[in-house]
Amino acid sequence: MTVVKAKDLIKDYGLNGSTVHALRGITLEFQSGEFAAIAGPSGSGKSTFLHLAGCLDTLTGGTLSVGGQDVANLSKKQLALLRRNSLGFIFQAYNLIPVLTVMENIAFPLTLLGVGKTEIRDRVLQALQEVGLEGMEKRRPKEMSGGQQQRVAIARALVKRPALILADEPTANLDSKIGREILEIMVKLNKNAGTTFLFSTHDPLVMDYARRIVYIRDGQIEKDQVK
Amino acid sequence: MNFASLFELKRMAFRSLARHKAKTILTCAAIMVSVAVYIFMDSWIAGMERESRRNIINYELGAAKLQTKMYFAKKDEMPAYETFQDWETYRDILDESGYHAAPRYVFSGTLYSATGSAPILFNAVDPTAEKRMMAYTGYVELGRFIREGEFAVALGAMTAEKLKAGIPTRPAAPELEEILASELLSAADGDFIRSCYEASETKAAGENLAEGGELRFILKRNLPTGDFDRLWGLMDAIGRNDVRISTVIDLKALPDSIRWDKWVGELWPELTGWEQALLGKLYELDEEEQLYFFTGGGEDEKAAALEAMIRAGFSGAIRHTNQVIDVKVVGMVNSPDPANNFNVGYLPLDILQDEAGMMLEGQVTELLIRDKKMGAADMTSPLENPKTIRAALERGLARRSQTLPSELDVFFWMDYMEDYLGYEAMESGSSRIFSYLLFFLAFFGISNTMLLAILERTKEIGMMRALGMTTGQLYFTFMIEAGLLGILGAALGVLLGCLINIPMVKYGIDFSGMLEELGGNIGYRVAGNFRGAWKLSTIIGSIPVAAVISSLMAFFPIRGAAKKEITSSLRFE
Ligand SMILES: Nc1ncnc2c1ncn2[C@@H]1O[C@H](COP(=O)(O)OP(=O)(O)O)[C@@H](O)[C@H]1O
Ligand SMILES: [Mg+2]
Repeated sequence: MTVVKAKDLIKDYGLNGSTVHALRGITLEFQSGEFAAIAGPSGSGKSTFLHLAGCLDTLTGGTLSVGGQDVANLSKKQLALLRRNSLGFIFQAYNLIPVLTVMENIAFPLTLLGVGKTEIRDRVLQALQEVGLEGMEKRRPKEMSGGQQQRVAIARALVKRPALILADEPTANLDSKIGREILEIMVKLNKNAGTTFLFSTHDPLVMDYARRIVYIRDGQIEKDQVK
Repeated sequence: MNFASLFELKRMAFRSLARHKAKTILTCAAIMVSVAVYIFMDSWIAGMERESRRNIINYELGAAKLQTKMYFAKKDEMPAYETFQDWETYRDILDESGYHAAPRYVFSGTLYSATGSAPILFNAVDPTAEKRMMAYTGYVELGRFIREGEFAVALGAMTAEKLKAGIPTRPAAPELEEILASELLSAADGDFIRSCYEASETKAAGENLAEGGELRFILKRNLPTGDFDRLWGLMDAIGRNDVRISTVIDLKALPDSIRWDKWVGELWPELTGWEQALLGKLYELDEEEQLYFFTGGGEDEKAAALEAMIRAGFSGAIRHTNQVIDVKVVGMVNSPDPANNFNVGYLPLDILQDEAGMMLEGQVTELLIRDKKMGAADMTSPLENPKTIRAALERGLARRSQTLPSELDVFFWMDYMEDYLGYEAMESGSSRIFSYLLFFLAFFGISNTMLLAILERTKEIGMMRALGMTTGQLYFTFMIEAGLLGILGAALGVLLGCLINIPMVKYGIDFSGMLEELGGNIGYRVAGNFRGAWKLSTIIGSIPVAAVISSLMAFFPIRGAAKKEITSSLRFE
């Protein structure tokens, strides 16, 4: 099944009167079950593509469908619901809610979905186990290392079993040993649960693990390489 | 959005408040202070209003009045000629129906003492009836209340003091010296008088010298009653209590002649068609004299013509006679209602009946009415509804095969107090402005706190929206947070406000000094010590109101966050 389908995707940013052409016509598809990375130098448009695929931003031109829905036709609220139901995010800066415990952070997407209390608990504990953080559910984010926080973020992304997890430079803040651990977890999830992952990265380590690498430069596809 | 998710979001709001302790405490404190001040002010105003209204009823007006409709219509001018007869019958009927009733003839005049004069509103009253239902009669603090048949006046204490009548309570040294210099006093009398006063230095600092550096004396208030009587007697003996009322007797009378220009200019245009026809019939123009002369008519016609002239406000229908009445001041009224203490005098009604008085011949301007069961501490009872009173009167008259004359009606006390009630509304409004201002500041504080909180959590908000939080849920979370701040602050404010109020309500505040400075007229009818009142609606209401206002204050900051692109929120550092 096609999870993301972009055709001639264009994204311009207006910046102080001038226009930045962040994406200049990207045509790409990702199928469910993929473990793919968008690679390219800084400023090439990786994050921009991920944000569009994640329905966090509006496109300037072309067409884009996510989870089979043409995003151009969706309202703000429908986009929010699409994200809530089908997408997971992992950010470079983890972005956990500091006032909530690990348990509550991971539970947050399920809370938005209206899942019942006991089911939330079971699923959060399951997700914690999957990322190797058993027994840490009562901790606060600031009591954990960067690697642990990123694992919590992964658990938060996967706990609702989304069709697609988007990870914007997930290893950039971690040293290579921890980065490898994180990637191992994601590979395992991809293998065992069939979770689709789409990264943006310029970390060779991530490219090592990715089974497909789309190289972009100046908002255009340079190379689409399947290992 | 289902309940479980709302609950979870609320928890987040709680936690956020706990995390930002300093800000939470500061904002709460601001709300607390403003709520406490509001509760305090509200209690103060409620106390003033309750006391004032109670005083007006029990010290000034009674609960209702029987009066002519014409008087009521012109009550601002106090038309002393608008009188009615047979009040004894009405009083008896009211008495049978469970009401006290007290007749009064109200007129204005000037009171002259040996040293000065003052405009006075005179109430000619039946002392016995008055004592039964009007509470001021118990506040004749020096001297005594008037008795039937005597040419006497009980004066408002402040006015008596000003006119140098009665017993001086705070005389300046020269005034006391002047009294003591009187040849009518023996040496023993002089010593006695001196012993009744103490120099005010012994009282309170700051009061010891009046303006101009005069020494003041203060009447000792703990003297035996006999001493007060003796003192009054001595003041009487030196003529201090002899005063003269100068007034005008206004009587309605059909004029024998009316000047042509007055007839055309003042009277004719104000009359209705049938009134013009009537007067045209009763009067005839003498071209030479330029006068309309009365040519005669039936009693009914004459009465109707007079009534028409009065209604038209024609001054020619009122006959003025100057009158001078010498009376003795027998007492000084100092009641909790300042309206009784300034420029008011009470005379026996019975001395004014003939030419030596006001030629009343049984007429009064009003009959004050009060439910017998109501005391000086009470407001009005349902029985005191003017319609109920009127019905009782009509039933009683029917039993006597009489009817209530059409010109009479029963009016409620409030109908006389439009000025006061207007003042009350204005005053309470302006007093509240201060607390509104505080509220404004406090809630501005909330808005600011929320603005900062939202700014600080921009990235967090971006992430939550990325995970699928809708704009509605965003509003909910932060409005709950602000609402909690409001509730917390208001709850503390209620606590503080009530604590301040306890002594206010229990003991009250004494501001008789301030009242004197202001000449007794502060609008509110409260004097001396007065207490706050609990106002439950404010106390209970302030918490939800604070919650709602606080939530609303968070609206604009949230809107700012909701409008921001998610991606730029996420990039925010
Ligand atoms: N919100 C924005 N406003 C203006 N320009 C932007 C914005 N976001 C990204 N850009 C520009 O678009 C281009 C692509 O950026 P980005 O997608 O973040 O690159 P990458 O993630 O590959 O480093 C860059 O030139 C960047 O400066
Ligand atoms: Mg980037």
